[in-house]
Order: sequence, then C-alpha cells, then structure tokens
Amino acid sequence: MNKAETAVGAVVLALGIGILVEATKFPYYVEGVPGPGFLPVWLAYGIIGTGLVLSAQGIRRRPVAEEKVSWPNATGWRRVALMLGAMSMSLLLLEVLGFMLTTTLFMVVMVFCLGMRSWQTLVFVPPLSAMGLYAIFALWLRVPLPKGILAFFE
Amino acid sequence: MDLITNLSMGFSIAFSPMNMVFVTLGVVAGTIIGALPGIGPVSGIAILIPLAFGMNPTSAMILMCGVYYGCMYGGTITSVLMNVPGESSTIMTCLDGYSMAKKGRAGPALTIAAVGSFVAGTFSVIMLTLLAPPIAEVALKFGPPEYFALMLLGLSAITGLTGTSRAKGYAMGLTGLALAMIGLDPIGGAARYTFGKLELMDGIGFLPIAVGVFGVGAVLEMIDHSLQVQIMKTSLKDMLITKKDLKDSAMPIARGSLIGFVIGVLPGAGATISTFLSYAVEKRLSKTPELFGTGVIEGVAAPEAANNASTGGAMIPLLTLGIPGSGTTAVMLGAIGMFGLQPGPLLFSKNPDFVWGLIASMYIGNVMLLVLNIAFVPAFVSVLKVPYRVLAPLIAIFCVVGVYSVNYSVFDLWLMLGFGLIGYLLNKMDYPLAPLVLALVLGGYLEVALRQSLKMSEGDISTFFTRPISASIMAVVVIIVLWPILNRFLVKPVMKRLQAA
Repeated sequence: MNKAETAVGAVVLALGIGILVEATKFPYYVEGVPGPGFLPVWLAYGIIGTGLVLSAQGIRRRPVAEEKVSWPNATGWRRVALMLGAMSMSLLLLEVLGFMLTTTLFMVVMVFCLGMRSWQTLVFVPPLSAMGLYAIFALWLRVPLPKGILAFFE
Repeated sequence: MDLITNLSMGFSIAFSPMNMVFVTLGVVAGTIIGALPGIGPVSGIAILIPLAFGMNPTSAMILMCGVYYGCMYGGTITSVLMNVPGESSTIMTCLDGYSMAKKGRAGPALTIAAVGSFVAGTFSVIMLTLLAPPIAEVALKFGPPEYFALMLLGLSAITGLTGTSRAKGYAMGLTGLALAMIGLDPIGGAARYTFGKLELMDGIGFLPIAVGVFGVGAVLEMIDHSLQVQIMKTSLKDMLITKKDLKDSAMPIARGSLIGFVIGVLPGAGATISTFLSYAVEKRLSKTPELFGTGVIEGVAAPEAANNASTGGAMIPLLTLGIPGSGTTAVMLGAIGMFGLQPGPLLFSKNPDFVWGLIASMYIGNVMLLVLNIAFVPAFVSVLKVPYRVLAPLIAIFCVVGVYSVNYSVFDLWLMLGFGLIGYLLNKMDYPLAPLVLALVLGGYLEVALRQSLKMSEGDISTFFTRPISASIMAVVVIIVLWPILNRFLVKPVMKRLQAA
C-alpha cells in the first residue's frame, strides 16, 4: 500500500462527495432542459469514480524505487515552510505596512534565511527589488498598490 | 490575395516601435525564463500575464508569444552547459548537447540549436499563416454541439495522454471543471458553491490558480532541494559552425520541423513528445546510430527544431478554435479571455488586427531569437549565475504583486498561495497540473455549449452523435477515453494473432 497515493485518492473521493451533496441543491432540469445542477452532478460522479480508482491503486500498489516521490529532506521542508510562512505574513501585512515595506521585509527575511550572508546583497537587493516592482506596477501600469503606513508620503 | 493583405496589415502592426519592444522583451525574457531550471513557458507566461494586463491585447499577446518561443530556446542553454534541462522539452538536447560541450563544442551546439529553432519556428509560422484562416472559416459553421465535442476532445486528450497515470489526469481535469462551476451559473444566474462569499460570486479567477500552481509551485520546487547550480566552464567565443555541421544538420532540422509542427497541432501531445519522436527518428535514420548520445550535432538539431516548430503548431487550435492543446496555450487562452476577446474562429473576422499582428510578430520574433541567441549567449549564461536564494523570493513577490494587480484583491492572493502549495504537492506526486488549468479555463465555455446544445435538441443527448462533425469528434473522444480497455481486449489480442500468423 502506498499511503500518500491512497490518502490523495481519499481526498479526491471526499471532494467528489462534497460536490455531489452541494450539486443536489440546484435544479437538475429546468423546463425539460439541463439546469444549473446538471453538469456539477456528472462532474461529481466522475470525481468520485476517479477517487475510488486512485484509492484502489494506492492500496494495491507496492512502493517501487523509481515510483517513490522525491520529497525534500528536512532542510528542504524547512525552506518550503519558511517560504509559505513568509508569504502568508506578507499577505497579512500587505495592507497594513504597504507594498514597499512588506516587500523589503519579505526579501530581507527570505534572502537571509535561504543562506545569503553577503551584507551588500542583504542591504541593497531587498529595497531595490521593492522599488523596481513599484516602478513597474505602480508607476508604469498604474496599479494602486497598498501604501499602508507610508501613505502619509502622498 | 486576402492572405497577403492581412499579413501586410499584421506586419504594419507588429513593426510599430512599441510592439517591436515587446517582441524583443518577450524573446529575451523567454530565453531567460527557459534557461532557469524549474520555470518553463507555462510558469513564465502565467507570471507575466499581470504585467501584460494593462497593455492592449495585441501587444500583450505579442509579449507572451515571444516568451513562449523564447523559452523553447532558453532551455537549450542549460541543457548544453549544465546537463540540466531548463524544461521537459529540452531533455533530449542534454544527451548530445552536453556531450558536445564536454568536447569543447558548446558554441556550435548552441548555434545549431539557434539556427534549427529559427528555421523550424519560421516554418511553423508559415504553416500557421496558411492553415489558420481556412480552419477558422470552417469553424465558423460550428454550432454548440461541435464546440462541446471539440472542447471535450481537447480536455480528454490532455487529461488522458499527459502524465504517467490516466486516473490522475482525469482527477485533475474533472477538478478543474468543478472549480469552473463556482460562481454564478452562466445561463440561469444561480449562485453555485459560493457559500455566501461575495468574492466567489464571479467565480474563481484563472490567474490566481495558474500563478499559484505554476508560479508559486515552481518557487517551492526551486528551493526544496540543492540550491547550487554548476555551469560548465567552456569557451563560448567560437560560436561558428562548420560546413559539415550544417550539412549534417540540414535534414534533421527539416524533419524535426515537420514532426514538431504536426505534434504541436495535436492536443495533449506537445513539445516534449515531439522532441522524443524527432530524436528517435534521427537515430533510426542515421548510418551511425551508436554515436547518438556521444555528442553528434544531429542529436541537438532535430529536437531543437521540433520543440520550436511545435509552438506554431500549438497556436493553430488556440487561434482558430479557441481550444488549447497544452498547459501553455491554456494559460494563453485564459489571458485572451481576460483581455475581453472571444477566443475562437470569430477572432479572425472580429479582431483581424489582433490575430495578424500576432502572427506577423512571430516571424519577427524568430529572427530576433536567432540574432540574440548567437550574439548574446554569454549574457544569458550570466543570468544563470544569479543565486537562487535571491531569485526564488523575487519570483515569489512578483507572483504576489502580479495577482494583486488584476483585481486588487487579497482574497485572490490567498487563493494563489493555497493553490501554490496544492500544486507543489500534487506535482511531487506526479499529478499533471496542465489539465487542471485547462479545464478551469474551458469549463465555463464547455457548460454553455453543453446546455445550449441540449436546449436546441430539447434535452436529446443524441444530438452530439447525429451531426457528422460532432459525431466524428466524439468518436475520437470515446477512443481516447476507452483506450486502455480497447488496447487490452481488442488491439493487443489482434496484434498477437497477426504476429503469430
């Protein structure tokens, strides 16, 4: 049995059941022709079917060397978690601190935590990246990027 | 005559200073993106869409197409110099390209790749110019049943033929279609799967998902293992190829161009398969097949021609039918929709400036690619020296600001991040991501075509099997879907009997 494959198969199956339960709330036919529930119901059946097949394949399959997933090692997982954590923090802070500060902070944290120790890179790259992106999106493409606590500069 | 008029109109648009800048930017960015391992054309284009969002649609598509075929060449640089394919379509180039580099012939390997890409790219654009208008004209006669059948064909091909497991492909395709159901029902206006959330009323945007699974996913992939990149130290000064190189490569380039173009048109096949096929064909036709893999120039020329020719081929179903055959063209289709254009045959009659400007720009882009990639290879190589610990956060923040710039929505950013993680994990487990995005892009159109067809036939499903064109397409769909069963119980026994006889 391949636990990861079986687990994903079960998630697909659960997703299909969830979609089906919700789909039954919409009319399947409206005045003799398919309504808003028609396609979702059939999609749900399809997802349930593939979920069952994937789970069965996961249960039957014996892990073979070349089929093994190339999961990262502990350091790799730490880097992935760090990136996701830093991005989540950036999203939370984006409208509070504004784009420039958030981006600079994000870059400093990530570049440092990924192992860069050159002080020139740590001092110059983050603010320059933020300014470059601000120039492209805010000044050139006129996207109203959040200004946050720097709004008083306006 | 119409063709020449349209093409000259296209060139007048493509030659405008602004569009020339975008072609150049596109091929340069594409070459760099293609050269970076882990980021291919689909991630590159997905990440760049927001940048193109503020432009006029023609310039935006010119930029994205430049990225598309620039990527095809960019992957070659890392294949030849690092033995690391920048993307899957340059895996075959590693075999002989890296061996040539080890023999001190990296320059000729890169030059023949550029020449092959130019010849094949131009050939495929000529074919696109000649074939697209008549196909679009035929497609104008298609009704909803034919469109539904075509979309089903595109979806079943890409879900059934990509990846290692059909079940995984179908799971992704069906999930993509289910995601497309979120929001207001396109015909009756009922709110589906919105759970009372206002942000979901308009449906799930294609951009947060595409940037999430391809962009953020690529960033996570980039940082989860060794960050060190080893570039082979070799002289790039001597980029000239000999007469013998050219003679040896001429026919492989010609055959690679043809194979690449034909495979590119087919949904689900794509650039990677065309490179495998063209390499296999050259090896079989060669008088010295045992030398393949040891650094023969034919082994670089043929797959490089094939992967570039496939880009022009892939544009035919996209522009004429609005049916993308790969992840990259699916992302492009989503972009065309975002620009407010109706993808499909009507593009040729309603937006000729868009279509012909784009086609003309592809001729110019191929010339630029040739010049840039022979003259500036050392500059592209130097980009590879940017440390991943700087590049990865930079791409991540580009994804964030890019997705934010379209709807100014932090909700979209959370969606992007969530799908980035899901895409990363699913990719690790060999679940193909292209079907998810393709199905999400096509889902809305598919549902409308299905329900309109059934409305026309008063609920009679046989309408798909009684009209000649839709019936033929549906037959192909049935064969693709049932292929494992047909193969096991019909094809294999017959083949065995034939062999025994």
